[in-house]
Amino acid sequence: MKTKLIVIGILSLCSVGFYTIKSDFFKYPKYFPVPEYDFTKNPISKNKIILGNALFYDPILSKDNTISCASCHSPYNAFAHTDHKVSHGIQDQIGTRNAPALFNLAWQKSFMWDGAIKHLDMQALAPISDATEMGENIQHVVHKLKQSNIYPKLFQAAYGDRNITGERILKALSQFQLSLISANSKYDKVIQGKEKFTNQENTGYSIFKNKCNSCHAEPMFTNYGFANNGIAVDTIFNDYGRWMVTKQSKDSLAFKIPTLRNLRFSPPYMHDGRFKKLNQVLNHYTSEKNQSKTLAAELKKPLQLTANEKVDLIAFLRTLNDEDFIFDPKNKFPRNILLTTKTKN
Amino acid sequence: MKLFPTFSNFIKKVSFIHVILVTILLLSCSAFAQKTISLVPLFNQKALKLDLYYLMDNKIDSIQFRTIKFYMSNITLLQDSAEVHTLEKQHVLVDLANNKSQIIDIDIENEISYNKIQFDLGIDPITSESGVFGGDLDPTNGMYWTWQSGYINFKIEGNSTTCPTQNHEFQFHIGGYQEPYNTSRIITLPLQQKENIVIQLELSTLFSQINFSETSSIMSPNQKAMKMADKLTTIFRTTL
Repeated sequence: MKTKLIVIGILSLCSVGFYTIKSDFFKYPKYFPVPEYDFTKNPISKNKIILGNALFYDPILSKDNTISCASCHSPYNAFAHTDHKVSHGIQDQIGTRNAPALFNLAWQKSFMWDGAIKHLDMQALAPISDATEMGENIQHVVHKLKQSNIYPKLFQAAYGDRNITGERILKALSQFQLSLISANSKYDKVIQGKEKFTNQENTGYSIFKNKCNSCHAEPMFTNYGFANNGIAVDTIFNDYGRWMVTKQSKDSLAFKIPTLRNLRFSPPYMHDGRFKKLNQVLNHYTSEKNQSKTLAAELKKPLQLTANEKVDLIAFLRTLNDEDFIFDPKNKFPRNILLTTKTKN
Repeated sequence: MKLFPTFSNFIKKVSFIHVILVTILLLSCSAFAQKTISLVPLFNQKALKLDLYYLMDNKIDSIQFRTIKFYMSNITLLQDSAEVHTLEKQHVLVDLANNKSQIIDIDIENEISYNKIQFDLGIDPITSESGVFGGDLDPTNGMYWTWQSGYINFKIEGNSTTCPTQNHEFQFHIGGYQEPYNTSRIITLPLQQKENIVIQLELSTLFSQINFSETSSIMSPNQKAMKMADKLTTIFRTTL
């Protein structure tokens, strides 16, 4: 109880200025909501993030040691991938969905385009095990890491002993991903009073608040819900989204509402990556949708936007790009760990 | 002269600690009894072992089990409907490939009486959504689904000559915690307050209810999984 009070005391002392600071590696603006992730079960530590960073960039997680998490989640694309519409895995296999950008994950309530996974810790099991992504299983990952020259040391530093378990691997991967916080875009600087929007950005902001904010809610730019936005089903993938998880007809064709932060770095857009440009996305919202029972109420009629309004809206959306996040060296490939020491196999 | 009082103090201390230790030992001996819950798998009343062949009810076809693994949660002893003792370890993974996992230690207070044992066959929704855990819940046990949240509550894999599939294989991964497909089941069995608790799993009871030409594979939470979960409750029994 005492330690709890002390911790709370320290935390509140740390909450100075614009940021709430949980540790050097987890601080976020005061206008962000309270994170969903329960840090009490996985307290942030530097060495766990270092371990998670190494695991994230290491193809050892895949069956043939060729594909890492970063293969589809590149730091320069806000941890999404721009070369492929949908994910690509071992032996040049192609998946069915667009690899999403990864940041501000502590606030996310569920994972995957259909929300099938309810907790960040368990998310990594999906790509590790998927036959078309990494085609591996977590038991064998544990085995490989135990054989390696570098991981027992990293686990020792992170957890106090060299024991490698599924729980420890997944918690470390969570830690690295939790540390990916994007909150330094022009929008954030404006909210913090450090910068000002141009007139055009201001006009775009008003349009945004009128037409987009109900689903892509500030300040995370998503309400973490699911919706059918009226894009016709791809007849090759036949992906019905959330329905495939809940088997409830109301969820047919509903997909996760993604954040609009860092759009410049993370094309293509939509769950199957069908749009390369923001213009195409806006044109979709202003045209007739694929009509179906589950089409989002807000989109039953095309959004009314003039060509000028679209330009202004895109000017605002550009203020959500966070270059400091994209080029943050702490998020990069850990050369000092993964390149200097080769694993045994 | 200086040493002597220190030494006697030391002796005093030692004997004091001894007295306390012995008292604790005696107290603990009198208050608790170490017992075990054994899980005994059977097929038509014969001890069931993985990878051996067993004759099915028609005396022609055979069945072989490759995997039998399941979770028992919130193991509780009851006196009629009152809970009198709950196992500290909340989730126990029983794996027929691991003999140790079939014997669960339980420390029961001597003075309590009980006549039933109750447990959940499976994992509850809160645990299913609360992130990763170690030990019996570690995903390396192969009992967590990778493509969506949720533990596999009960996994049975094997083959049978009656199974019209490739290599005559069947696989039942019974899991799912979200309504309307919450596949966890509460199981209550009568007990006699004897030395140790023995729970039998009579697998033939399950397979006499399964028609492989209709169902040979269940891998996700759905109506079939719900029905199978109901059938699974019928394999557990205690002998009185």
